[in-house]
Amino acid sequence: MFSYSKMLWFPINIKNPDLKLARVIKTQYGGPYGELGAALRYLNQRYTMPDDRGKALLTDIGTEELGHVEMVVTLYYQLMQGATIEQLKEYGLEDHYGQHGFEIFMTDAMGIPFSVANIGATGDALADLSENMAAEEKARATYEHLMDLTDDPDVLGPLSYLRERELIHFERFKNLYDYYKSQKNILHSNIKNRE
Amino acid sequence: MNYIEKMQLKRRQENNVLTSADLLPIDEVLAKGTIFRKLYQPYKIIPKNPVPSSEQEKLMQEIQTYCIACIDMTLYLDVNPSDKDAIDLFNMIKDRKEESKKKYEQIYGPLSLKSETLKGIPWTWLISKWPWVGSED
Repeated sequence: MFSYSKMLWFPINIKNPDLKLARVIKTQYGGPYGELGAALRYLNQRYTMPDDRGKALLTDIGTEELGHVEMVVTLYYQLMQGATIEQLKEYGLEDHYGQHGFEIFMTDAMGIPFSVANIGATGDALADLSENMAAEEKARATYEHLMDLTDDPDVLGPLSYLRERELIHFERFKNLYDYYKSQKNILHSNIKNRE
Repeated sequence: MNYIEKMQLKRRQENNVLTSADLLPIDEVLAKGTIFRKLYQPYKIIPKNPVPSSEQEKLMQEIQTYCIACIDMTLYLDVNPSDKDAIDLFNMIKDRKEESKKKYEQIYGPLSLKSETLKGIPWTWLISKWPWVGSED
């Protein structure tokens, strides 16, 4: 069961809307290294993790990522707040407006809709965990790119926070990966089912 | 806050055991995004806690601080499940988080549908602030 908490992981109060940045930041919502993909990947992979440590870690990080989806959407939403149709046109958002009006939508920075087609799910704990370690690094790199594009402290604070969480998740996936590597019998229980 | 001192976490010989030296002071945890000193590696900025514009935001930041400390300890324990001191620390932080939440909800309304502040008329779930709405609105 999941339940909702009516609060963000980190405070977000943007005073200066910025359509240019909104256009780019949405990649961490619906883009290839975004939070939505991360949440779905971990919550999908957890079922076949070979022991309780794996089931717990994938559940807990996947759940945390759902809250990061909400943070990124909040950034995106507040950056677009108060924009006029003229301003949307000026910053190349008329495509977005034509399709979605003032509503937000899960796409990458180029406007390509979110896809689960390439989400890693092999049923092999070592393959999935190394996929996740790479994904956390790709998300960290993306947050650094986004931080390069702004000097607004209201945006940099939440981005810096989200970037740090990628480092933490990488470390915990690595801890689990190393543990499984050293405990061949745990992995064997999964392999046995294939025989 | 001297929760680290209270814990009296002592450096031990075993591997994978958390010590007080591994933890950041609680008032730095929110801005830095972690409680783990060695895993904190900033980029571009030295993050600071946002300046709260009201008592409500101040109390919310206290909750958010305990939330991040809590999830960090959770993920650590998922992969280090025998670290007794870390389990004690998790439970201490969790209790403080619940206390702060209760205090907030008494004044500003429910943060979840588990809250004890849902008996009012009209339905109080509607009165607390939606998280994506900024403080300027």
